[in-house]
Amino acid sequence: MPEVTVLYFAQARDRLGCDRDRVTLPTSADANAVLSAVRLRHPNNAALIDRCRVAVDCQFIDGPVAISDHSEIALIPPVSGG
Amino acid sequence: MHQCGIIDGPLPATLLTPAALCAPAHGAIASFIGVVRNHHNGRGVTHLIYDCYRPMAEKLLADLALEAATKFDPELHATIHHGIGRMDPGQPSVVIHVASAHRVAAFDACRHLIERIKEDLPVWKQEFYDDGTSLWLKGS
Repeated sequence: MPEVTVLYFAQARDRLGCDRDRVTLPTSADANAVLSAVRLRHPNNAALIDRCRVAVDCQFIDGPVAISDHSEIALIPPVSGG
Repeated sequence: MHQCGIIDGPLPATLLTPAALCAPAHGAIASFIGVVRNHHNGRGVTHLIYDCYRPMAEKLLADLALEAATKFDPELHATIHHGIGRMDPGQPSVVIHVASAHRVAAFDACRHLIERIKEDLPVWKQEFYDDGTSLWLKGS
């Protein structure tokens, strides 16, 4: 199973206390699978994690996508640009 | 054609005007400039810090320009820039220019682009208040 980096930004980075983690995911994973892996690392911040969207290789995902060791995964908290 | 990007710091004055955006067939340019406010929910704002997932944000801005062209006018030209890092009240944080043959497509595309930025652009605003506290905004 691929081991990948998950990037954290903004309030997620502040609350989780780091800007990334290495997690193991299945070769096909959806957003819930990514959020579950991050929740296991940070069980005290489940509510924050569950409010995030997931991007794989700079694209928002919802349903399952292929994951490899080279996938770049990001947790996207509610955005506030503009 | 389209020009999009993430800029370190407040947007420079050169990006605030739609220079060289028009083609001879264009008859209208609509612009939107977002500016840092000095207040929010009754609190005084001293400054902001914008965080960004830069590779995704730059890709998304380019995708949004193509989306606007598909939706409103295949011949429109769009420039979209968002600043990141520290900004003070009065400084421009986002600027959109859309040139099109007619005003309706230019206005509609410009409005569409800022709304899509608000929905999806991976940029986050941390407000710093005059009482010394700060807060990451959740949506805007």
